[in-house]
Amino acid sequence: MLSCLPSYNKKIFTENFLGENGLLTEQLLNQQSIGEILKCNEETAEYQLTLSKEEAILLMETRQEALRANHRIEIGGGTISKMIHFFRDSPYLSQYNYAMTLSELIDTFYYFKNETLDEISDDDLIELMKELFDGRCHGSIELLQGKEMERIAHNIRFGGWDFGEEAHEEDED
Amino acid sequence: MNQIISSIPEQEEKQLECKKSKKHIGELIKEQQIRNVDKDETHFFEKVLAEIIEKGYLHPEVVQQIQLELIQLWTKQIEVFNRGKSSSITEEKAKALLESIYFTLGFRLWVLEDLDESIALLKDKPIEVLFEEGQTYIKEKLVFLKGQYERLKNKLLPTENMAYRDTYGEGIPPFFKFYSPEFASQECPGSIDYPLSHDKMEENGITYMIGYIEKSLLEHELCWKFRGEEIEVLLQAYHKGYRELLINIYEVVLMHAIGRLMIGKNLETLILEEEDLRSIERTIEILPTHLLEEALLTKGMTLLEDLDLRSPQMQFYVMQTLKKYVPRIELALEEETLDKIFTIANQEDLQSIHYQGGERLSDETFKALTERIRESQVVKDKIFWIKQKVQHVEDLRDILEADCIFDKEYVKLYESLEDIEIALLLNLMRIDENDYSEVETEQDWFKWLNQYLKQLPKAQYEVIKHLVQRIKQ
Repeated sequence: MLSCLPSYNKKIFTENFLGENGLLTEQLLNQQSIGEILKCNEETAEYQLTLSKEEAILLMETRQEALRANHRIEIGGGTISKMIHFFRDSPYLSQYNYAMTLSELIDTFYYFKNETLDEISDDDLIELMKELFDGRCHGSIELLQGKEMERIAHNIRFGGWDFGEEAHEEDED
Repeated sequence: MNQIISSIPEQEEKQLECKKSKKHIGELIKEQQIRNVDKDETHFFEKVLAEIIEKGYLHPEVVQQIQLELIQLWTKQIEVFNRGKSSSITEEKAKALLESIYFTLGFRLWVLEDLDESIALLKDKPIEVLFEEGQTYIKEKLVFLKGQYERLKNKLLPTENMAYRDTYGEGIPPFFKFYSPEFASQECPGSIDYPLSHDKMEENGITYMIGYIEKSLLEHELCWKFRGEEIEVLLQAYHKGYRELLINIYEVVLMHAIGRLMIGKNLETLILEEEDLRSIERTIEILPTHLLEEALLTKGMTLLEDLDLRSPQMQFYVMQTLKKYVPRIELALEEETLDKIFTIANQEDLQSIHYQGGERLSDETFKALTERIRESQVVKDKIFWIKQKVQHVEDLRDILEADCIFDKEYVKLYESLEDIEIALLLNLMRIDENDYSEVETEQDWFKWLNQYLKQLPKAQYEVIKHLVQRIKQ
């Protein structure tokens, strides 16, 4: 259940009564998550996509940094695995850009969790990102971050409509 | 954590002894006088746990287990809060959920008598079980607290003080509607402006509301012993703008009652006159601080006995207030402002009646009502509809002028009204006459009112006349 407790989470925990040194170290917790990420290689192998241990560690660090930057806390390490699962069949992913793109997608995901006011579930947000990435953005992270996701976040904050359907419609156009 | 553990070894022997016997822990605590955690403290759970860890009353392994269980519970609460739709959460909300866990656990320990009971519980029961028990206690307390609030709400003082009316009328109910024992037990929704004599603003969650309502009840127990309209007069005397002031009514009542007892007067009223104030001043100005306090506390005990308010909580509360007033009285004596504590009420104000009336009828309701009255075949029905719908004397006057009641029906209607209602109708005419029954008028309803007054027994007519004089707009 508990696969990650970033250092700043620990700070909240310890600030209350436990002193400086927490019980579960970040290192120990990260080891579990890295194992989960590497296990994803089994299902991505058929798409010629694999991550090395070093790349898995880097992805964990990206996630930590994204959480920290967006003032979020994550329970469990399932997000990276989900991201891999949803994006594994993207025509815009290759072994060459796989780890780098995942890293940027992770960044985008946490940023837009906040920007969409937690109104979209993890699965829906990743699915939406995948549709836009493969569709209107043609594999461009810049377009995904700077245009499409911003537009959706804006609409959620100020109006609220079925973002999923619109994404479909616009793709069809 | 390691730092904490490393500070423990020298007490390890003691810990092991502690583990053997609960009784021994209690004795040890008493011996060493380590009970630094006040029950009124905020962050009760964290402080109890810190105290236990610091003093080494739980084995380090038990402490580690508690830490682990806390993290697991926190994780679970985040998952439940997110309803499985998101694995991450904002730091702000996560922190609030953790605070809610601590608060609920604190509430579980809060109901215990001693720190040694807390130690035993933390040792024997998993954190999640304690958390669930804490939630149950909170929910039970909520039901009880709501009952106490209803009791209070049904007997509110007839004051125009806005903070009082807003807090007890509209400020507290949102707490019962929005309080969340599951995810935000440390929060206290609602709007509380009315200041109590002793208000622990630093408390939070249901603990604050328990304190607020329990203390409110104590304050009201005292106020209920006196006439509401007299209390209102005291407040008016205290300050003309008392409606907007943040003042505590119980303190005003208490000090006036004490003032009267100090000069040997009874408690049939709270009103102090000019001479009373001078007598109080003469009595207390010669007293040094400790004797002033003693005098106040002695009179406080007499007051509680006279009013049959004998609960220890009430005694403690009143004594606390009186102690608070010792320096205030001394300062007032110095600055010659004793009349700000023991105010001189205007006897005329006491006699006056302040009419507020109920809600006015809307145009549509008024039109529908007059039509219904007009359609009614018997006067009994007409009277029924008027009594059913009309809450303001000006609406009553408008109906009397709306051609829906005729001739002797007026008299029947007047006969069904209270003296004060007749007085209010007369007051609307603004007649500066001694004998209303002699006033000439063109208005049918008033002509018939004159007829009605003429047939009244003299004593009743005088009562009505007196009431008209006392009515103030």
